[in-house]
Amino acid sequence: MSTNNIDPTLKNALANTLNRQAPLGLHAKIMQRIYTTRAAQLAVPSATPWVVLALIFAAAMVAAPLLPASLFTSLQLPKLALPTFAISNSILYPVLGLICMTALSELPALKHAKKRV
Amino acid sequence: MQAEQEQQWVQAAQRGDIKAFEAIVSAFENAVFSFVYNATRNQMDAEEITQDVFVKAYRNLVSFRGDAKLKTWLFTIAHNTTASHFRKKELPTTPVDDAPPSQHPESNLADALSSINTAERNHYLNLAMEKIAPQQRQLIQLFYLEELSIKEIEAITGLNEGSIKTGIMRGRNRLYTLLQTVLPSETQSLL
Repeated sequence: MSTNNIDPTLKNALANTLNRQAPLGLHAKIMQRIYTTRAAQLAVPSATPWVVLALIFAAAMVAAPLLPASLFTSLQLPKLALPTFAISNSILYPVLGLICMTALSELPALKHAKKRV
Repeated sequence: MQAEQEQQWVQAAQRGDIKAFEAIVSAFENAVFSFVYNATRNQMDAEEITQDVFVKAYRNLVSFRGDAKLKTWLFTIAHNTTASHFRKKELPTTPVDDAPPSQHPESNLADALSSINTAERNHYLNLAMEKIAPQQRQLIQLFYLEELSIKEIEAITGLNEGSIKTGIMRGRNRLYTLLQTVLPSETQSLL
């Protein structure tokens, strides 16, 4: 089966029937959606670090009480006084540590996102 | 075109050049719209699906390595998006080889069409096209109009070579049979 042997009359007739001109305005609608998609894609990298941070924070809150208290006393870390929050230091230190590490690791991504926007 | 031109557009679009992607849209929107319209026969649905096709293409452009032609890749997305539209709307799909096979040489169909004027020809062919299975319409479009190879059509539709050939042949034969019934009596005598 080859396209070479198709009768030109038949091909013409099929072309006239099957070929449709895209309606006016379709191009603009497509491009509008492309721009929206692009904007959403660009917004993702800047949102990601904060989502990751939130997840890590939640994980640390759950995991910290499970760590042995002796781990913190043996490190002799200064006692953090946060009068407004009744969070024990055994929770606070791992959380702060994780937040700092994540923030540092996400800094390049944040810079990149800012530049692209 | 233009394989070279297409490659340039793709590479530029992959680097984030939105104007290059717009050039791709301009080059293929009519073909994609026709392909989708021939399956759905509904202007609104075809417009919606065509938009979806280009959005999907934009999202996945980074994964396009140029192993296939850009047109083949876009038609593959269009085919899958249309199939998913049919599933979502729970519309019936007819297998490509639904119609009983009949043997009418292609030249007979061409003769019948050449005996009437262009406007009449388009009118009757349109009527006949409405009656054949959407998949057969798509196969006819891909093979005769887009001049894609059977291998490329296989990649787009996921059908095997036998089914594609059967689908095209039966679509064409069905078209012939239908034209016999819709053509005016004076033209019928010429068939």
